[in-house]
Amino acid sequence: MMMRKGIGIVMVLSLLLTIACSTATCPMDTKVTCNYDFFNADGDASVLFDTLTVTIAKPTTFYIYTKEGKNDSVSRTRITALVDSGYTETVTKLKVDTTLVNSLANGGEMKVPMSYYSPVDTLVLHYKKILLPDTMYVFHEGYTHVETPECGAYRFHNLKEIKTTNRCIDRVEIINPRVNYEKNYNVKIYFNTLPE
Amino acid sequence: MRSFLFILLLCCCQMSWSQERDSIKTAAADSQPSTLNSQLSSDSLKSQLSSDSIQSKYSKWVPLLDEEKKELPLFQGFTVSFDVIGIGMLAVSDYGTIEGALRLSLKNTWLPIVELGYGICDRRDYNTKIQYKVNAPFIRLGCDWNFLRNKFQDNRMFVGLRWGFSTYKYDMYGPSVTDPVYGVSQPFDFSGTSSTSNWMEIVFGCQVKVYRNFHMGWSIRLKYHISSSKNDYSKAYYIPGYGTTTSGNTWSGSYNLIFDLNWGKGKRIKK
Repeated sequence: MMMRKGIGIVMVLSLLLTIACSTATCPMDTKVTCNYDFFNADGDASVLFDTLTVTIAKPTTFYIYTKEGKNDSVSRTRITALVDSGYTETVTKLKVDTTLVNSLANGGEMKVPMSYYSPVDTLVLHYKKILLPDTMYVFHEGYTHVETPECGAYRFHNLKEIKTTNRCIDRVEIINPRVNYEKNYNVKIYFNTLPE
Repeated sequence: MRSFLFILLLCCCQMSWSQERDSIKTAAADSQPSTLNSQLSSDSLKSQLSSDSIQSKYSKWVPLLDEEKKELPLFQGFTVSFDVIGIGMLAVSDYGTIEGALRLSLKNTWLPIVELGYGICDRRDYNTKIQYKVNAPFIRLGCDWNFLRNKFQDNRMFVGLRWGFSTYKYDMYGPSVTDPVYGVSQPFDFSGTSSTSNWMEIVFGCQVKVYRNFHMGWSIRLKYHISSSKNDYSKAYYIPGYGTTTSGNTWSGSYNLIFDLNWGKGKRIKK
């Protein structure tokens, strides 16, 4: 009798242990961003005493409709009614400013998503107290990463090179080229002027 | 998980069957005390067994017979076995194995074993629509220790260790990954990704004689993943012979059909 009870207990415990071990462990936060840490020109960790906005020029599809004697019409979506009424449709791609970081105030770091398939991201850093922005060219190689089929596919990146203008930025340094969802700092930005 | 439930079911059946058989043997022994006593050579053991108190308190304890005290020859032959759990898993789930083993018996105590098999996985995740495919062979080398006291019997209960190894190529592909900022999307396809894995297993199991040279038995295995060659793009979801890699270790089990090959086996010492 005792033997049977013992076997039963072992089986139930084994079953619970198996259930516990069979759960897929997908990461909770899977946002892939390139993480920038701010420093002053002397190399001390700094807080940016300004308001920073980062934009990119995002290629966007536009539909342009023209007809003699009528005003031109531009739309981001296709309008079939205009085509039916005799307008000529032209499809074109234009670069439109898209904000990635909006008015970061007194920040010591920023997290910027990267383009999945473009080999270079052009980031424009706008300052509130400095008229001219800085432009940063981030060269990278993206690749699809799958941990397990349950967790899905993500685009990771390897940073190759970063070029920048030097209006407010002294220099940049890649400290960890692997951009993934592990939240490590990837790039140090050294500002030569921290407006107060 | 499904395999484990299946193993538990088989364990229950086999355990209850073995217990019934043991109880029949015990009853038979109790009903024929004179036969048992005639086999005993030691007077002290006779007196112990004839004691009512000991018989009632330790009814299942049977002392070693004289022949069992003598040593078995070193070489006790080979066994071949085939796992049915892996084939069952193939029928009802996305992955499974076809595997067999060749085991050498040394004094019926130390049991070196080679397990060869072929692992198959074809899984498509319902939510992410990512497909993973692999078909490859694997090998496990190890040794079991039969810890039953009476080595002359044909039943075995053992613990053991295995080292497993597999080299394989897997395919993983899925739907397009869309860039939420730029809006561009592309599908991905990792076909023919090569990898090599090795792992350790701790094994606990038993086998019982069913008919002549035919045995049946089960084993439960705790597997520890040691290493796999990795790349940036993906890691193997299923390793042939190991199982899924969703955590650092995994459980599995086997239910074996076992055949004793008596060629070359040392003859048992008869009284």
